[in-house]
Amino acid sequence: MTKHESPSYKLFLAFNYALLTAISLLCIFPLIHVLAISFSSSSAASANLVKFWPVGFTTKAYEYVLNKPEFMTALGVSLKRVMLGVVINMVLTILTAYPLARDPEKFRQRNAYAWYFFITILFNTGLIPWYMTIKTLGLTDSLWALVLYGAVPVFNVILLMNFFRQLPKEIEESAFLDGAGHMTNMWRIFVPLSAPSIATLTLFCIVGHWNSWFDGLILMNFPQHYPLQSYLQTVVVNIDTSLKSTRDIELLSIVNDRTSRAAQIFLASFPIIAVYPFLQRFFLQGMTLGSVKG
Amino acid sequence: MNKLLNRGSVPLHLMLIPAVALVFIFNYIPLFGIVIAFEKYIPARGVFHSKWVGFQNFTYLIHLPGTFQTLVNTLYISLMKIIAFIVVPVIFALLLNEVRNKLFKRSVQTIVYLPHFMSWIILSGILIDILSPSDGIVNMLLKSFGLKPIFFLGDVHWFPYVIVSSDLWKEFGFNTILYLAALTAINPTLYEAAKMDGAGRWRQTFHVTLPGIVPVIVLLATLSMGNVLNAGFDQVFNLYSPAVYQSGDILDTFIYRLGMLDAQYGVATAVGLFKSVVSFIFIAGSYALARKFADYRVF
Amino acid sequence: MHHKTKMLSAVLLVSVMALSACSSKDEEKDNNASASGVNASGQANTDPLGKYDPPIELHVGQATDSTVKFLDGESFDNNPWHKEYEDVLGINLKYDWVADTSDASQYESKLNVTIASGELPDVMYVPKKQFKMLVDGDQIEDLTDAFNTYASPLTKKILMSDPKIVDAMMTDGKLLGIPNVGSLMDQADVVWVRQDWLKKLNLPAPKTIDDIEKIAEAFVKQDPDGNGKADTYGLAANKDSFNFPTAGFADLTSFANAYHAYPRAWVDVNGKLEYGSVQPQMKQALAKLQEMYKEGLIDSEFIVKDGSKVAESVAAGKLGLTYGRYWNAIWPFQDNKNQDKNADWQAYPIVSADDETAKAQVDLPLSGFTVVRKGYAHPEAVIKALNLMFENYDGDRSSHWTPIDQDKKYVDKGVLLMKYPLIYMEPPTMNMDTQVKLLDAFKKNDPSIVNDLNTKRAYDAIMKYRSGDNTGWAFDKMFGENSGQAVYQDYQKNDQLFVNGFYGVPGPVMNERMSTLQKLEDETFTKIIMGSAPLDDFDKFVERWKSIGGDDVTAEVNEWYAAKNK
Repeated sequence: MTKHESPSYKLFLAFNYALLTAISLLCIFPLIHVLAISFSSSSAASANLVKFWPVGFTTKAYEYVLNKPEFMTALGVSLKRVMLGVVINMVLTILTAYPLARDPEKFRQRNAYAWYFFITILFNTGLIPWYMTIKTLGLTDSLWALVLYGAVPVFNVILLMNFFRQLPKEIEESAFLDGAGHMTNMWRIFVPLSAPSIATLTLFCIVGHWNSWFDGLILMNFPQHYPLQSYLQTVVVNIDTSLKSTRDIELLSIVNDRTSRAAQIFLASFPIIAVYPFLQRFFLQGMTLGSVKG
Repeated sequence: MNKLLNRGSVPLHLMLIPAVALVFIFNYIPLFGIVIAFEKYIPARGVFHSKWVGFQNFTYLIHLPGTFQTLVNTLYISLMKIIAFIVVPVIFALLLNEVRNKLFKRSVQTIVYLPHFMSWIILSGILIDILSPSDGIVNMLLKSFGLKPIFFLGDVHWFPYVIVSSDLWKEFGFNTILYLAALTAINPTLYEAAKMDGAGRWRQTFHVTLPGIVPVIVLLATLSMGNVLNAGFDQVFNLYSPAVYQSGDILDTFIYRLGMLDAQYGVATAVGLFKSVVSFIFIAGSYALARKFADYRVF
Repeated sequence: MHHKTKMLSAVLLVSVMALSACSSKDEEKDNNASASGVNASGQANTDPLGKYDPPIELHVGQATDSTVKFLDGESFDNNPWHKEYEDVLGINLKYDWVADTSDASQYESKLNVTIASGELPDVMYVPKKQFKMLVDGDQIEDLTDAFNTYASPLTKKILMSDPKIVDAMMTDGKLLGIPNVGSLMDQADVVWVRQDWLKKLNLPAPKTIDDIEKIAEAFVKQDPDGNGKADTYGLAANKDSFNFPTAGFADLTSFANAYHAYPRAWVDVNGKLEYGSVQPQMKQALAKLQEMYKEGLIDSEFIVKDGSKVAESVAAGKLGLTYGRYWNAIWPFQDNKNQDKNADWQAYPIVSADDETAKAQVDLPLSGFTVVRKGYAHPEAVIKALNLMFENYDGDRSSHWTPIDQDKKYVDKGVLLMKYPLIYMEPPTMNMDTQVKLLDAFKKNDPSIVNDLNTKRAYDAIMKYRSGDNTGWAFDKMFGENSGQAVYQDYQKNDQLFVNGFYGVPGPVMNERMSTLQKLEDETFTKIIMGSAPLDDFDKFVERWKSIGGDDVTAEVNEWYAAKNK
């Protein structure tokens, strides 16, 4: 390999490593700061004394969040939601992207379908119609509410459709010649070849379902049904001008508690960080093209 | 041969049925709510029995002082974001692609995705500290170069740039992943052919890599036009203040304050409708341009 | 003043009872009639705590937050309050939904969709904005008759202690929901100063606005934290300093009150209501603020900092002068005390810029209503629940209820039963009464005077503080001598409250124009204070304010005012 590389390229490589390291540090320092806050004492955090190392080390913030039985319940809900939601998302994404990737000459109604889906990205009429539709279907306060309204991630469908379209025509032509139907073509050939994009989209779906909190708070009727992020939102109290009665005084002592907020961020992102390396394997693979040649 | 391929249409329709149905239920049916934009909506009366006021919600907005400025601010910030969110991740993906060391590559990839998980509530506190004119890091650096400190978050001229760059920092990792995936999909034989023609790494990048991801770039650019009037409510809300309303007040924060005393459903929906129409125009424009100049069909 | 209010309520009650024989049920729209519209009646079968037999169901939409805790095995459906309602009133509470209120805007969304869906629970609490929606949509029951008939004397005494609040709780002369009434006095700001810094720098207590300026200057320039760096601030201010009602910490509204300016409030000027922010007095307040900002006596970056960011400076021991509520001692000052045991804060009455005593501006403490959906068969059940709550906490039943409420198993786990009742309210004078009782108990060394929950909580905390435990310090500063509540006693004595002249429901013109007007106000005031605009821009601002809708809003407000005063 190095035979082809000029000295200017080698210089560039060194510069590249330096630049990428610098950018990574830029990205990671604020996170270390937040991590340090999450392990610091409440008053040190309130005084903004924490830089990159905990001040007054304590695990109180995590205990506060994790010790409640509600945390485990909410975690269970989230896990179920993510598993169900991602499977539904990806199956539908693949099933939908494949026909849309067909040549309009061969699949006449393709453009109509494409516009049908695409328009939904543009129009969003707000909270009330969305809620009323879900409620009329009787889905409120159930896991299905969280998982069905976003079942077809049109953005992902368009992305996958484009990846499918870039696959060489010869592959499917030879498959069809061998007597394969569309379903076989799709599952046995297109999907394996699109591993990088499918892995990427799966990651996005996982992150999307894991991080979403607003829908849980609105669609669920009881805190026991909240997914994790919705529950974590309730742990952090925002300062509110209508704090009036003395019984709200204890709210004041946990208002804006930085450490809880910081712990909240870590509990939110930790699982994704754990899952990501597994999916990375797919990004860094090239296409295995043994079947392509000839 | 043609018959064989055409007969295959029925399975295609069948494959589309679940998505068509779900999208109809959850995306098309709620569209009835568009009617709210033309009504004086009262929740009790419901969507179909609230008083019809035609375009009054729109004219009210147009005649409010400050709406135009808000629109300009929004466009300015979101267009900058759209451009930045394409240029930077592409360059970054290309740079990352040159890294041979797998561990380094994977670590960097993971690390740059992490800011995505931070909320603007906590980030705003951090930004206020970093950008502080008295003791923030950025101004310390400026001072060491002999420059005068800048009150970034309180200065009308700088505020939009702070918004764009901080959001870029937070989200560039996301788009990078997409481009990286696209890069891995480029046929390795093309590289081999280029090398055999004597192309060094630079030539390969220009003649193989970039063209290989142009479709994804065009696609993402077109789709991002859908956000042409979304300058980032959460972020701006947490970072703005009366000192920078002039350049920092965007459509969404404007509407938010409008609805504080009394829920302004009609006006909010009207703005949503307006945003959709404008997005549609921009996307249609990009689509047409892509067809014309790159002979590329975006979707 | 205390006596005067009591007299007033007594007179009101008596005259109202006298009128009851001849008053008709038709409601009129003026002030007097609305007070007599809610009158006591003496019918025999309308026991304020009458039990339903057979028991009835009441579906509730319940608000909760992270301070609501339950013992293992208990929940909203299963706890002493739930049992109490069943045993005493024959009411079986069923919960349709429980929503978290930690994030106000998300809670509001939840309420909005519930209202839009048309499926309301029988009872729920709504903030003013949603209350208006329900009233406009005719979705709630008129509780006037139920209240007249079933409210106990104690309930009426507590809810109707202030005629202004009685006025504000009515809608067109009708009671459409049980108001959540807070304490008027608790809305007032005091001046908080780092007492240890004052002593160290040999400064006198603040009595005038010049004193405030001197103290701010000393705190900035004379290194009160003794670390050799010029890193301490003067007067606290934050980005929402002129919001009204303010968040209650680092406010500037009460600073303006020194000049008898009442920003964002409505002031009676020659019989008509005028908007406080455009009055000439406001210009004087801004002039002083501009001067102080220029001298560095106000944080040059205040405009980008919200309350909690400014609170950091308190906790870090860099800020020692602020306007704020009595509860600032618990937040943010307790964090300061935890970091630095020598820190000490003291509350002072707000100061004036001239010979006339300054009045602290307050808004009527009416944050929302508990409403009953239209069509529910037993609206009076809510009134009875309210009666029961008051009797248990503040009335004859407290000897029965207190042992249950204060059962060790709850107290030890920090479980507060007062979070469970259908409606919970405290008598508006509760904190002031607590302060009086506390001082009395300490003076006479007689703990038996401490006979109610609120006072007991404060008493226990102060005793802890006195024995060296700093975690009780905040209560000493809220309720002890030289505390926030002590200053409120002064306000009471000297009539130092200015109540916002407008407390009606915002009308259509106000809804349409106010946000634009406030944006203009915020931008102008900010620029003037920060020096990027000259003081005389205030006059231009007033002209513009009037022309882009200010005059129209003023006209609408005065329509309300005139109708009220007829």
